[in-house]
Amino acid sequence: MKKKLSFSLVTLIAGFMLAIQFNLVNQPVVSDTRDMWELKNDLLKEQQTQAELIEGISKLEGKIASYETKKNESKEEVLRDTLTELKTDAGLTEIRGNGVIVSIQPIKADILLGEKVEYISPVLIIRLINEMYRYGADEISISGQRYISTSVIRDINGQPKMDGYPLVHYPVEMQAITVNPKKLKQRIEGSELMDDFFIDNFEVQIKVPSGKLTLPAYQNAINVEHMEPIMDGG
Amino acid sequence: MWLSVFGLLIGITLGFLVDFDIPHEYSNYLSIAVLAAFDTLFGGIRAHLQNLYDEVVFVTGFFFNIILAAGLAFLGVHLGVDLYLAAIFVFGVRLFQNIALIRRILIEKWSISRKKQKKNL
Repeated sequence: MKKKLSFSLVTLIAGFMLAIQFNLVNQPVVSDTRDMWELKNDLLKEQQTQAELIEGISKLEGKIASYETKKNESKEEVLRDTLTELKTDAGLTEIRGNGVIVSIQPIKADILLGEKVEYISPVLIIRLINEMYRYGADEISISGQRYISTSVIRDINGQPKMDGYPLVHYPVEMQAITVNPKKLKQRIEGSELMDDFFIDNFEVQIKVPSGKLTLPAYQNAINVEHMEPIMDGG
Repeated sequence: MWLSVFGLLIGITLGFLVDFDIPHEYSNYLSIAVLAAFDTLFGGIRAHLQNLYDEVVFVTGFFFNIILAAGLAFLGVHLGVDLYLAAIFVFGVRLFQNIALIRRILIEKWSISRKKQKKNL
């Protein structure tokens, strides 16, 4: 009995497949019996559908275009923001804030004694700048020149110069912007640098102005020598 | 015997009644599968008449042949070689052989029964 059942099941499946295949092959060919008028009507209908579709497509394309422009605009905005940010970081913008004024000048007693005033050693200035950064200074300018990461202070023809600008007019005034000017003042006053300046016959005075300080922007062009922009749109 | 014929009839009517549509691209596979199914069916009938029928062999053969044939056709389509012709050839030849064998066996049985009837007369 079981044998017969399985055999019947198989025949059932085979019959089913046969019928489907038969149906598939013998799908009746629907002959087109429309006359000219009906054909024209149908054509008109199809043309209407086509027009609607084209309209829809153009609408959607307009949407895409508007999205694209929005996207580009927002990209530009982001880029601009980033550029401003980077410029601020690089010191290419004017900056205002609380800070301290450090003025370095020769000890008056020496001048009175008629000794020749030497220039400040660039090493001392660099050390002072480093100490100030270490004590929390954010931005520094010396004698109205902005000190940035690529700035150089060195001895040129016996004169200390920062980015080519001589630091020979006393008092040499350094302005530093920081979040906590009082703390910065105290820490500079407490550092050993004061003694080093004193050995070179300079005295350092530190003031915390009541108003806000304005540091100028870096004026020269920054030369980028060892970096190249990536060109492949990435 | 009648149960299997009944099954076949039910299958055919079901196939016609159910609006089961297969994409036209697959009609090749289905035709080969149908051929494989019929080959197995007639093989089964012959084995039954020869008293060699094994249910497991039959059922597995049925499905295996269908899948193999369709797979061969599929492979042929993708290789650009009409491999389904191989399946059609094999199944066609086997179908003819099986049917011929069935005919002979039936004729033999019939002649034996006729001789018996003659003897009885």
